[in-house]
Amino acid sequence: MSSTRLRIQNFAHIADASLELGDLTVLVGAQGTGKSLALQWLKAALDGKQIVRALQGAGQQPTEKNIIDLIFGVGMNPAWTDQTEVSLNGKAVTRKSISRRGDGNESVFFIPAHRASLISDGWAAQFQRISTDTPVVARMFSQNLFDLFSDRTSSALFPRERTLKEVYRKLIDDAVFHHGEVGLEEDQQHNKRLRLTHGESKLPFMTWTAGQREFTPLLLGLYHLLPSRKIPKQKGIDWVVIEEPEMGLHPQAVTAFLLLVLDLVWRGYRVVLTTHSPVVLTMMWALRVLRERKARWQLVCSAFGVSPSQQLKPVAEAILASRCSLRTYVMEFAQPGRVHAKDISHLDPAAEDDAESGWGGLTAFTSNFTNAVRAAVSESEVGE
Amino acid sequence: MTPIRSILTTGTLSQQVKPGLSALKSTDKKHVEDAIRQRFADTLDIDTAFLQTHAADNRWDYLLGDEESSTVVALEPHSAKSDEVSTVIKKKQKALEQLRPHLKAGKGIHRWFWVASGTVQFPNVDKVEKRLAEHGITFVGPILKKKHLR
Repeated sequence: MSSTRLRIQNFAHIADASLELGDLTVLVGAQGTGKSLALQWLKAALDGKQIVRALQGAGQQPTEKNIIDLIFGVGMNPAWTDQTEVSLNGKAVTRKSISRRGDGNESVFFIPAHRASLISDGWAAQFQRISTDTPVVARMFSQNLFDLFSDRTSSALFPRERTLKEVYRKLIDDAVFHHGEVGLEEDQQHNKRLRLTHGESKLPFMTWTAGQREFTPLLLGLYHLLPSRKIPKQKGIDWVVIEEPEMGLHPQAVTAFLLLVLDLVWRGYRVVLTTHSPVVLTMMWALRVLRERKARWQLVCSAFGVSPSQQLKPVAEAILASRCSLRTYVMEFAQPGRVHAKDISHLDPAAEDDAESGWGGLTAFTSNFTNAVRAAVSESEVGE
Repeated sequence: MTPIRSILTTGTLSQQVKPGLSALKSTDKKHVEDAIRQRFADTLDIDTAFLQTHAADNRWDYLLGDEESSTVVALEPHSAKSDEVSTVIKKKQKALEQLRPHLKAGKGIHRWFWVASGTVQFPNVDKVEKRLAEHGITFVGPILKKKHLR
């Protein structure tokens, strides 16, 4: 698959982010380095027309002057200055041209970091009910959830037969729901609401664990992207952006989710993740080494702690194939208030550059603890 | 007095200390960054030094006398695989035993560095990092650099 180059210069605090997006791309970086802004630009550059139509449908009137506020959230307009340049594959994306980007349909499915907060009292809000303070990608995802909730022919959301591979259902059950059943049920006021059922107890959304509340909108998003039967992917959707999939999740659940990410790649989606989780980069590092070593596909299964099976074979083989490109970038402050993106795809633990060997800063802070332990051991030995 | 000589009692081991990096085998010198080679005033090949007396034991490779910090560090070029961690830890433990009779009171090795003699095959977030830290060993990748000596 050919790569896609997104370049953002002088937008908000992003001085220069040049991102060559592969089949699976991971963005890391400290809080506030602009990872989400960069990916919202990907959405705007590919689906500008769809965004503008959604805004118009909600009664908003996007213009060259207010489009940045409407896409990124009110207050973001000053982020665009005379020096701002955004391009996709070398073609400029301007405030004026956003409304002409794409064919009006959704080609980027964006699962934002706000996902759990979009489900209020067990139900998702429609696009127009969410204020323009909220980035448009979150409003659109909420609308997607609303549609999913409204259109369900069955009230069962998890587990659901023939919706996910059995191995995925088991992993999710073991890691997140522990034999609980997620569904939509009428409450005492006769409103349909999300419920988690364990035997006789039916728990409303706000009583769920943080991880269950975070995972459910992720899962529902995946239902949309992993159609049952023999359709590999949703027609028209080429990109899946998932922000911080690890939010609220134990590493066991993160690992289960990452296997689903590989499934998305196998189906032909191009996936972009942002993360603060070393688990995600450990996976990217392991995949890099397995590919270099031309490892057998069973080792991918072993990396995820699952038994090799014919169901997983094509998924594992797809991620090991040389045509599948894996990329990792760190967005970091080169000077105060000036963020640059750096390619750290090799994730070499012995790299000269600390950004690469320290995996974009994700390991530096735990290293400080281990350094303190090491110093204590050495000092006690010298004193013996 | 050079750093290694300053921590050793006068004896057979002290006599095997060599100037600069000359105790390192030529194939191992590449594991020390060019820019810091001058700061080592003396070196000792303890693997060879203890070969006769501890032939069956695990043995650490080198001691390096860092003139800039007036400390002695230990260097072990060794293959960087997860299943070699236990061996490197044993080597250090044995080196402490082997060196003890030769050390002046209150003196010791300041830092223990494992350099990769081949491709690195474990990540730095692995439990390897914590195991090594608990044994006072720093894995530095293929080359010992200035930043490691801070």
